[in-house]
Amino acid sequence: MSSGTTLSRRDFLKGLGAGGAALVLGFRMALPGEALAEGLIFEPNANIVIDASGAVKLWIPWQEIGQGSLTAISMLLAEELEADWNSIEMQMAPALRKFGRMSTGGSRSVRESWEPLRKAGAGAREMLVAAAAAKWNVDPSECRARSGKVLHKSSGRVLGYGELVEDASKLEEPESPKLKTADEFRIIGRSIPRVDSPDKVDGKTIYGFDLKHENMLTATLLGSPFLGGKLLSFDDSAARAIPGVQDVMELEGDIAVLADDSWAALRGRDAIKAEWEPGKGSDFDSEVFRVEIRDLTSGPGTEARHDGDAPSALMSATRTVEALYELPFLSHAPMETMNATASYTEGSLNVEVPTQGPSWCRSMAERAARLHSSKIHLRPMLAGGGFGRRLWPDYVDAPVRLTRKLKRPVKVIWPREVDFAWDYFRPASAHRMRAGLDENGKLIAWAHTLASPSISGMMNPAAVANGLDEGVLAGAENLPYAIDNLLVDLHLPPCDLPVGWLRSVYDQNNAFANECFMDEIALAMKRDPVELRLELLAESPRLRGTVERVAELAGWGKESSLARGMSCHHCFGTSVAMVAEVSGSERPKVHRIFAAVDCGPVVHPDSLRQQVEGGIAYALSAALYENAVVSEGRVQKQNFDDYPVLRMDEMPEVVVETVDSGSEIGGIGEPPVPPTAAAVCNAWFAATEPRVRRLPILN
Amino acid sequence: MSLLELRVNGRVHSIDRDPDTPLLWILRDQFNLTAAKYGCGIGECGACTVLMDGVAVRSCMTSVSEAVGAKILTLEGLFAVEGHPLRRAWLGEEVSQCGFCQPGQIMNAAELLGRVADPSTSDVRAAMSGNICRCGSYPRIEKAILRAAKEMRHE
Repeated sequence: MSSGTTLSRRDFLKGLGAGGAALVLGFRMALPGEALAEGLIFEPNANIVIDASGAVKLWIPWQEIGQGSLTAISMLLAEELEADWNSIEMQMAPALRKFGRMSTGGSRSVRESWEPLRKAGAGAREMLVAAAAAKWNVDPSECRARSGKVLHKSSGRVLGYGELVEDASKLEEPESPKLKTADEFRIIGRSIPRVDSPDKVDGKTIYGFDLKHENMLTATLLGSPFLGGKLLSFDDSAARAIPGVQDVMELEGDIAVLADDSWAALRGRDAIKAEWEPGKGSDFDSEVFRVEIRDLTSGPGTEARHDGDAPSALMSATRTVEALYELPFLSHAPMETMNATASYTEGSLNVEVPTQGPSWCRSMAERAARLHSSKIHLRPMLAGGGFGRRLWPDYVDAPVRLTRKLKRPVKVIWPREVDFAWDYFRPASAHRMRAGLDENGKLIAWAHTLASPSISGMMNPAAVANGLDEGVLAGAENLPYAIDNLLVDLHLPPCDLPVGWLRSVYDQNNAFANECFMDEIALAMKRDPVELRLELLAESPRLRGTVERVAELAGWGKESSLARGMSCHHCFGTSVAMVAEVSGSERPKVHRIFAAVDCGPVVHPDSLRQQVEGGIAYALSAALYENAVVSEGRVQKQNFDDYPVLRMDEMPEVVVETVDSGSEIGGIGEPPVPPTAAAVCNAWFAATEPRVRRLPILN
Repeated sequence: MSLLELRVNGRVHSIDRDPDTPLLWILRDQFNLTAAKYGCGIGECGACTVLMDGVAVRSCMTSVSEAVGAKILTLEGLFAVEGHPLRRAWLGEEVSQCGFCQPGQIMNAAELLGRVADPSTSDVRAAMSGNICRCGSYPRIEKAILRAAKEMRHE
């Protein structure tokens, strides 16, 4: 991958005077409303260029954080363009306003590229075919495109795309090019080797943390040991005495240590003595917060959904089932800690940063550098994991301010302890669930009272002023089960601990509550959990299809030496059902997880499997171990010694199957996460009571 | 500061550094060998793993003074020879997602295969459980190691 500049179509066409012909095309992503208001949507995004050598350059406005999207997205273009796969040079696009809001989250990269990139490819192919047909003076229908060439069937004449781009660039882009049908795909649906793999395996990939520039200083930061602390004073004499330490300074309420290399910066940081004054949040305690939100669920919240009359149905029920589920705050802990590098070139600011949120990073850089966005070149780097943490831009501020002050390139690296302490934590939540059965044992009522701090509300309290937040409700409000009397109500407690998006966000919390509770209901009804779900999912055929498939795959109902548990969930456009096989009495040993996935068309089957394996590993890690404890305002677990995560010895075998219901394309990065914990807990309950209602399992 | 001689990937480097400096930062910042990664700084994650005389060490916890006199091998050195079975296996099993932990994983695997020619699944799991991967590439690492071992036995 190399860095590049994205040109506007106009700029590019102007540049053609220099000699080289090229076909320049744009594709438009679905832009958020605000981009429309700014008029951005009318500017063509010239991010596909086919040059006279036949090379296809593609700038991708999505970031590669390990999910394989650079490969999968490029395949969409290659398929419809009929390009030679090896001729495609793809890279991550720099953050430019014309791309709209650039951010990689919500399992959106491939599914939102699905239509625009295929259309752009098909349009270009039609133009290239038309250019060849005109040259040969034949009808375009007699020609076809294949692997970077146009062929005239009857005469056997062939022209490469490079030879056609000049003529093709003079043609109008077709309004609605004809897309291939699935049976015509030659690239989509194949597990092409990932383009980022060889460099990663060779250790040649330059991550943000690996960046080096001439005359660069490496810096790190020391902040308050507790939330909301204000810097009173500090003594940096010991730090300054360390060879290699160049400077120590206060920076926006933190202390920055700048050094010739990483080790000097890290040692310098450890040598600083600082005093901090407590402020807002300095007494925050995650255990107190857990009790608070648990107690909140004893009272009614703001109604988000109410079908029928759930309170009356519960009152009249012959039997009720009640359970409280609790989930803790979580740390993201990607392997590459936060970092960013800033430098100036001729009055322009360069920011190189592994991120999922280039637009926010650019905005933060604009403010910190006091420069117009046109003077900022923000280049997303391949990231050593993201999991939602890298949607926030907070790691960009310090390097920009420091390079502005020192007029030297500055890389700011966060030690692991800072990465844990300055996280935006996955919100804790409490779920009080009640279900009612009538005298025939039928499930007639479901009530879910949910309490969890709002991520949107933290950014903008007005957004949740009505007491509702669609984000927090994801997976709760849209319960897929057909139940006549259904109530979902919500508490949004204020929270001093910063909260943020973590892979699958609130769907992970809500799916745990829903799916454990569904098993508890099945037990009360003396029904088989799969059979009950199938019955209640009559109106959700996609999810139902995955439940059916996974039951078949796992041999549900057949003899097994291992206990089994099932769960299912639909989110980010994709349905996933799982069966976990578990043994153990003191602690669960998860042997195998079967997953049936319906995400519509599968672009890259092996990437899909990677995402399912990875989603399960990430979720199982959280389910077994993870709990971000905060007491006296201090994030207590600041490294992997006291924040254990899943290791290879506890990784189950993962069996994945896709279900093709003919649905439209869904995401895959997040959907495998939510069902995992419930499948494991349901299986463990089958293996050995009692039931886990509070995560992590190994509390 | 003191003058130290380090033998890395078959080359001898002289550096003037505090002998307590962790080997990791010397490799990365002084020798520009950035395959070994910083992940935790306390020897818990394995991202910084390199070999010293064939033994896998956490370079974030190994001072340069301890490394003096040893043959240090990083991923750059391991794969300097073309066609290493671990490289083929890692690509063949499409192990990497974000890839950040993989250099450490591969070095740890190299040590295992240097000790045990025919490792069982439980040998692999036991040997590799000091290396964290947050993307969940574990099943593929396991397959890749077994695949490379098989290939090496038939070489």
